[in-house]
Amino acid sequence: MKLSVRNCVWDGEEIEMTDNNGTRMTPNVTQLTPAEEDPIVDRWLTSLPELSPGDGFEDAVMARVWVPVPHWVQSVQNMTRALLDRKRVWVWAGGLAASSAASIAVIVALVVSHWVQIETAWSLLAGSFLLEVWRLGVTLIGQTLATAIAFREVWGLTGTMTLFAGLAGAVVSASSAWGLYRILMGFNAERISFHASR
Amino acid sequence: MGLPDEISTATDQEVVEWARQGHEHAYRELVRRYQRPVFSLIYRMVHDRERAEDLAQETFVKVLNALDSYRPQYKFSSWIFKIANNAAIDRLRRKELNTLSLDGAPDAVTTERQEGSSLQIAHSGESPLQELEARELGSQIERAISQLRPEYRSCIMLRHVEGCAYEEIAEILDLPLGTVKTYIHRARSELRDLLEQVRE
Repeated sequence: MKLSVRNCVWDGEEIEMTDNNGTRMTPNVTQLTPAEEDPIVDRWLTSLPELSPGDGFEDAVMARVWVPVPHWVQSVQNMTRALLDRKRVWVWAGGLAASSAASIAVIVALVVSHWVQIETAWSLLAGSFLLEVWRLGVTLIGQTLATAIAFREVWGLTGTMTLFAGLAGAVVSASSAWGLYRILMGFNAERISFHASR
Repeated sequence: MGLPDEISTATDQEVVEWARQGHEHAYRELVRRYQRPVFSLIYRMVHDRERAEDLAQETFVKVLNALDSYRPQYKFSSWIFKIANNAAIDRLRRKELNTLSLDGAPDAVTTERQEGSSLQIAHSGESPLQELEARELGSQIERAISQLRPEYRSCIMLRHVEGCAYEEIAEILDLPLGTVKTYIHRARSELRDLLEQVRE
C-alpha cells in the first residue's frame, strides 16, 4: 500500500504507511496538520461559519475589567507618598507656610498703621497719572488742529469745505474701524469652526 | 509612555505587558483578538447564543482581571482557552444542553428569545439555494458536534477549528497527551459515523 501523507486519513495508531520508496513509516501525529490527519473531518469543521458575539461585547467586557493605573502615574503617586512620609518635608512645608503667613501679616499691619501716608501717596500717584493723560490729550488735539489749519492755508480751503473735509475724514475713520472689526470677527469665527471640525 | 502604532501586529505577550502597564487599548486589543475564537468554542460547547455570550464575557473578565498572574513563557491563547473551556464545562455540568438548533436555543420558548439566541452568520455572497444548502450542512455538522461527549467536543474543536497542537490541547484541558489523542481519534470516528450521509 502506497500512501502519501497528504491523502491519508490518519486513523489512530492502528495503520502503518509506506512512503513512495516503500519504506515503512508510522505517522507522527504531533507533526501533521489537522487537514493532513483527517481531511474530511477537517473540511467539515473548518467549513463551519466563524461566530462572533453581539455588538457591544468589547464594551461590556471592559465595563467589568479593572485597568491598573498607568506606570508613570503610579511612579508620581509613589514619589508623593514617599515625600509625604518624610518628617523633614513636613518641617519644610510648615516653615514655608508660617513664613508666608508672617509676611502677609506684616504687610497688613504696615498698611493699617500707615493708612494716611499710603492714601496720600496713592492720590499723588493717581493725580500725576491723570495729569499726564490730560496733557497727552491736549497735545494730540492741538497738533491735529494745527495740521488742519496748515492744510487749509496751503490748499486755500473755505470754512465750509474744511467742515466737509473733517466730516469725510470722520466717516472714513469710522468705516475703517468698522471694516477692521468685521475682518477680526470673521477671522475668529473661521478659527472656531476650524477647531470644531477637527 | 504611549502605545506603539503596531499594537495590532504585536505578540500576545507584548500586548499583555502593555495591558499590565495600564494601557486600556491593550486590554481592548486582547478582547478583539480572542472574542471570536473564545465565543465560537463556548458556543459549540453550550449551543446557546445568550449563554455563550455570558460565558465568553465571564472568561474575558476573569482573564483580564488576572493578567498579573499570567506567565509569559506560556501561550496566552492556551490560558484563555483553558478558562473558556472550564467555564463551558462547569455550565454543562450544571445544566444539560445537548440539543442544538441553528434557529435558536433549545429552550427558547418565545420568538424574541429564539431570535436572540439564534446564530448570526455573515452573508457569504452565495445564491439563496447555495446558502440554504450550506446552512443545512452547517446545521448537520453542528448537530453532530453537539452529540459528542463534551471532552471530545473541546478536543476536536481546539484541534480542527483553532488549530492547536496536541501538547497545547493537553495543557488546556489538563489531560495526558495520550488521552487527548484518543479523544480526538474517537471524536473523528463518531463524527464520521454521525455524518455518514453527508459523505455520500
